[in-house]
Amino acid sequence: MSKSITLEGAVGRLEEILARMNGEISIDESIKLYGEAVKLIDFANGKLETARLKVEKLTAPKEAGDEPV
Amino acid sequence: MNQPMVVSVSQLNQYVKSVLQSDHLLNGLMVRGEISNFTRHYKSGHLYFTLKDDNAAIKGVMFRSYAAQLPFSPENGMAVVVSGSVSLYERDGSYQFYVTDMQPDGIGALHLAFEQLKEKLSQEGLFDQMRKRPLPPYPERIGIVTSEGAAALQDMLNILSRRYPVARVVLVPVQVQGNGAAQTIIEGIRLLNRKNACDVMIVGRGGGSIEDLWAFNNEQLARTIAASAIPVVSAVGHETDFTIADFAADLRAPTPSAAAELVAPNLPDLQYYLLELGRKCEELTVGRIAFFQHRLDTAKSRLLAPGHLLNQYVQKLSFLQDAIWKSTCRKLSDAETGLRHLAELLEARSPVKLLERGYSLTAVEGKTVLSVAQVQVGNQMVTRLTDGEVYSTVSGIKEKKQ
Repeated sequence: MSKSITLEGAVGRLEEILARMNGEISIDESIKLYGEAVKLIDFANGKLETARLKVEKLTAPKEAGDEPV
Repeated sequence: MNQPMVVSVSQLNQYVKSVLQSDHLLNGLMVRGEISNFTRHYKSGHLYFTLKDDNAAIKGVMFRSYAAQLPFSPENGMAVVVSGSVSLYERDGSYQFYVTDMQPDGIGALHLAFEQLKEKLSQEGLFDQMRKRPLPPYPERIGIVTSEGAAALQDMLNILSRRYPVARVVLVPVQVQGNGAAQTIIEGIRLLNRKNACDVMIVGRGGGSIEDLWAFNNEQLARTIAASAIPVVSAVGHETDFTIADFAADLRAPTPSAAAELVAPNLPDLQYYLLELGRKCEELTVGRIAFFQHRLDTAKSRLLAPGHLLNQYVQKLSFLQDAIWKSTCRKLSDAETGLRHLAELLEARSPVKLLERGYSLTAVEGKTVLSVAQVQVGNQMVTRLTDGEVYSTVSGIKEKKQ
């Protein structure tokens, strides 16, 4: 699974998979999609469990420093 | 008596003007009246109007430097209280009121300004529901445009930490009250847009007086919010405070804390949703496997059909065999009954039986006598009865006439 995937992307993809599963698909595809869904759920849950709110500051004049608070 | 002095018109007007200006009362007073004939000079920006009541009128002028301080726009028919002084416009010889300040009569100036701006922007369609963009359901980056030291910011960060720690907060510290506050807020919103630094932003501050919140009633700020490519949630003051920024925003939150709750999903909700998604995926997959299993079983049973068919034939055959056997047996038994009946019939007709019923058999020379022609007088006859024979001699013959 790509590292650049976002939580929103994961949930969106899961919803997509569910929609596909509700349609007519082959058994092979069904099993493949299920595997993907499990990975996405693990990814999302992992992200939710380890998350700590990050705060950074953005100021106008310099436009340079996104210094952490 | 002295001849009256002859003066020029200019001299007269100069004199009257100096008389008016030297009058203590006329030099600083407030007048209540209604505005009519209102014009704003397009070039100079000075305001010209007539101030009137039911019986009288006076011309009024408000120079640009004063007019620029007015939060609201004067309009015809508006009841006002003006402050200023009375003087004379020498060129026209007209006596008029020079206005330095103007207050709406009855309601506050800020309140009126608010209503006017709201009406204007609403007419422009800036607040149209159609313009409102949906908020992203799972924002990665949440912009916050507010004052850095304020409790409102801390409240928002606390709520986001609790509800949705997955997010990254991009804070743009701005001035939220006082002169120039609106401009710093505008720049903050533009900065976030220019850097595309967040997926949704909260613009706001904690509670305060109407003057404290006034920066959020700025026309330019409202336009900046409406023009923002990133969805904006406004969060100004308390639940009862409504600002122009609120109307222009994609979503108005009653308070900054509420805004934090509105932009971020609740973590337990999201976890539950993920659980549900997983459960449904599993259910559908298991269902599909079961469906294919069923198809497989059906196909398998079709493959077994020849044997099954044979079985059917065997069954049919045995049934037929049985039927034939039963039918044959029945026929045989019928035949037996018929035979027995026939035998009885035959037996009933046997000579022996006739003898029992009183008939007898007569024979001459070993032959059964059937006709008188066989017999002659003197023949020895044997008569058979059931219990023996009688021997006799024929003594006469009488033929029956036909």
